[in-house]
Amino acid sequence: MKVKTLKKTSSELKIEVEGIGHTICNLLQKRLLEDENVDLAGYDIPHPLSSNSVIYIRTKGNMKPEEALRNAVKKAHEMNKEFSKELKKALKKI
Amino acid sequence: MIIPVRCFTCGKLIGDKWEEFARRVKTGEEAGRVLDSLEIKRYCCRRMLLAHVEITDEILRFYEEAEKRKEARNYYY
Amino acid sequence: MEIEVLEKVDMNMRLLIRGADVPFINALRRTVITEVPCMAIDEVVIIENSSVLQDETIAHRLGLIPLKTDLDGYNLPEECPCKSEFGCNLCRVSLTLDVESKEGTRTVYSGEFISENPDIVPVSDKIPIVKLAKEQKLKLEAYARLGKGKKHAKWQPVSMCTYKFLPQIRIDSKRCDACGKCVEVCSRKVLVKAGDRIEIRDLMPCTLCQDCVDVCPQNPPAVDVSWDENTFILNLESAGALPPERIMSEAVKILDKQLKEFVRQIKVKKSEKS
Repeated sequence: MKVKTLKKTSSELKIEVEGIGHTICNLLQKRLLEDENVDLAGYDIPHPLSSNSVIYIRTKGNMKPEEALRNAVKKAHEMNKEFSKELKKALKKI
Repeated sequence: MIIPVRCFTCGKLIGDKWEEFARRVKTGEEAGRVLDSLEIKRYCCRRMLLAHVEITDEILRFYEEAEKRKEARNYYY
Repeated sequence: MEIEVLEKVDMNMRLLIRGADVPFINALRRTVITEVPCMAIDEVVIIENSSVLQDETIAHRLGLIPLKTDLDGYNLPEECPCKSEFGCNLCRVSLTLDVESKEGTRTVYSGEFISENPDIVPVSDKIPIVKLAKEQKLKLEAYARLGKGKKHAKWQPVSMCTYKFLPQIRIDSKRCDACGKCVEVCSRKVLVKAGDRIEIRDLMPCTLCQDCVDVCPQNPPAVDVSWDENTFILNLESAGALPPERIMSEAVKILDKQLKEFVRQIKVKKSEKS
């Protein structure tokens, strides 16, 4: 996984990430949009055969987009951890 | 030719079920019921067995016949 | 979040997940299909082949045979410390096949493989590989490696991994005259007529097709089909290489690893800037 910054201002961030596709991008986009401070969040996969994706975030100005991104990943991570815990619990019952 | 190992569409293993399927259908059982009892549920997997023609057997007949001829030749000469 | 195992029959598993959302469940589904490794034959050295099938056809068939996988004992070739293109004992298993038809025509089955590791064997012993006429021979050595579904479908640990929303069916008993049309039209037999009422027999098979709503003579329809957008039924069917519960927990682990890696990368980026 490799991250390249394409555009960066106080409220905008555009990064290109190598080696992630819809799996993680879609998850992050949803988590970003849940954030009140985020104005716009989206992603694009410029070529369907390559696994490079471009993530774009624009905040309303009161939060740095990097911050929003970090929060989004954290949220996704926590959800995954919770799932893992619950799955273990559910599998123990059978 | 020979029964594919997996279903083309979903990738379920079907190769090992062919012989039982073919045998049971030959004895007069209804193909749909045989598929049900083999637990092949999706229609992508069902068509794999239903629509299969074992052409290898036809091709192998050439070799079997050649073998027979060879044996016959050995017998006479 | 709440998870319940609805069904677990050998290679099938159905989970009911409450309190999740589509992007997360979809991420899990995609991870299961493309990222969970399993073992498959990847390289075949054909020493002798006088059968009716070509070398490459046989090699392709061998590749598709699901092998019982030991994820803890083997490394992915790209992550193996041996760094060898050929592989070592930690990232490769050799299976050999040496068969000849001595008498008449016979079928070669997957069970005739001799594996280096008795744990890494074909899932089923009855998969036909090739048919040999008398005096035809097949001798080969195959190398199985771990791999991921995104590279080739033979490394997909599942033959099916789907999810759907939990259906919710409401029947307005005041307006329903129990004409039974909805019971008749439902191909999944979700509804059942119980005396002068329509009742739900089994909710799980419902595909949300809305046929019962369309067929209802009442206006507005007395039956209402909707779904809970935070509750999912995840259906998983393993191809046999790994047990379904292992596939699920492995997918969670991989997703966790990827998110961690992503956090690390954006941190590195930040420290580079400042």
